[in-house]
Amino acid sequence: MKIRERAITGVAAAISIGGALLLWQFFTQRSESYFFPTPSTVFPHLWADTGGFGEPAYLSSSASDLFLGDGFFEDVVPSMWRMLRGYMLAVSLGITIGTALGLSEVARQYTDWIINFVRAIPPPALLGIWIVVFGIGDGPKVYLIAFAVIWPVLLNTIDGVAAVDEQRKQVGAVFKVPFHRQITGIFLPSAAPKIFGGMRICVGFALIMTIISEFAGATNGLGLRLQADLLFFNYPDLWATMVVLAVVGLILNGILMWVEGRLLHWHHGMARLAEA
Amino acid sequence: MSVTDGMGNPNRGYALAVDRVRHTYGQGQAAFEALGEISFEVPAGSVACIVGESGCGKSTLMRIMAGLIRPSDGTVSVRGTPIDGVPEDMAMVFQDYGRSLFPWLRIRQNVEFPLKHLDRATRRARAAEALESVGLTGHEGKYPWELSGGMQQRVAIARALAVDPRILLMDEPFASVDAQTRAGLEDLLLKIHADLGITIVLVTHDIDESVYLADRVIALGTSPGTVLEVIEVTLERPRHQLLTKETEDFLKYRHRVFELLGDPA
Repeated sequence: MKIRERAITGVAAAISIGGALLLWQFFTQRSESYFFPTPSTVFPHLWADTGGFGEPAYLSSSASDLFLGDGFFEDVVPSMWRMLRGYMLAVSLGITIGTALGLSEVARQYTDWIINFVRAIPPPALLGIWIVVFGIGDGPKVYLIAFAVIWPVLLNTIDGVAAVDEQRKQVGAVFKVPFHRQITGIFLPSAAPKIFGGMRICVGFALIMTIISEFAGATNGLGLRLQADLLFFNYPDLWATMVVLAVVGLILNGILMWVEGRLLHWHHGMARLAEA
Repeated sequence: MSVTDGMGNPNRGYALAVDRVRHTYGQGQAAFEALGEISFEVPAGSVACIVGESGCGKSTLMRIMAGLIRPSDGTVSVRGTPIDGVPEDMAMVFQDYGRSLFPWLRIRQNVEFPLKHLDRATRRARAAEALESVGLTGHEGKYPWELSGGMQQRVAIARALAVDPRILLMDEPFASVDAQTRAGLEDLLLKIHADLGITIVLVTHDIDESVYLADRVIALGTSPGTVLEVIEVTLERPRHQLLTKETEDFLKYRHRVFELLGDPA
């Protein structure tokens, strides 16, 4: 049964991807616009710079490089590394601060308006000031990503921790569980489904912010590459980079889903049982 | 009859003594008096059932006895010592097993949860023993939500027993299971009581259950909660779901508690 369901899902995905590619080919072939290249131009570009600007290709045909090209190592890897650091910084700060605020109603009352005020600032708007204040190295980019990404994790952690059931807390008190173990053993697991919800939203935000942070003052990365492509009218490379970004986003989401599936299998198991 | 130590002195013959406890939630206009003046004692090794309608402050009283909340006035003493916070060797079984058990832990881990200060081997042994006493050996690797309601409440009982308590507090422990399961759990509790000789204080709104389980029924009246009467139940042990409940004495006690609590309609 499970194998069959998976097969059906796989076939459906293949059909929709194939259909989308066909539509893309169909419309771009008719327009013949340089700005909208056909997929049959874009995909070969992943292996070699058909635009002739010498951008390193993302993929290679060499098995010893795992079929990865210079572009992967020079642009994708630095971007991912920045994103990962920003994301992890945001998640760890978000969970730590969120837990503290979730535990204290007084602290929440004092910080609520500050959080909402700061959160309302679109992070890209900060880019210019950010560079003035923090400079142009890798660190500032990582902090900017973290700043943009922290909110869903922070708010969901606050909500999740504050909403822990009274009876669950009493279990901790009655059995004299030390405070730090109440945090790790009761509050965080109770809030975990919500925290993961926030973390999943953040993956998309982190990718967006990584690209934006590389629009200014970057020496490598996918954001810089997109800008260079625009500047030099290298539209095949622009589209190829977007394909790469989409694939990266898919993979990251997949990884997070996998981690969530492992850590929250109890949650999903309960949900399945409740449906049945 | 009401047993009160008028001097406020700790009475050493009792496992638990509640002495002129009052509790009011909120202040001023919004103040709500949950408990009037409550005094009663629970002899060591006995079963006491606190029975009353909803709104009589049973849950508040239970939380005060557990040291989870401090009463506005009066004291609770455990073996003669007034408590300040959760007393030593006291454990509690909560009403809603769905919330008191941790769904992210397997049965064994749930039972071991309060034992983390002990070494692994001792934890294992204690959990195994506790699970055996509630008849759940073999279910260690399951999650609580994979078990029936009655089994889950047995896990909660096992978790409480694992800490080796001398006093077991139970807050309407069988209110969320069906009648058949309930009878089974009542008898399981009586067996555990007979085997371990611990003091059990159980809150319930079920009059039959209170008389069936107790050595002493504490009948509470509502708004605010006050002790209407403390009834000594001298029914023979071991008790039997059918035979005990058919005796004249059982019916007499039941009648009395019904009278006290008034028409529950």
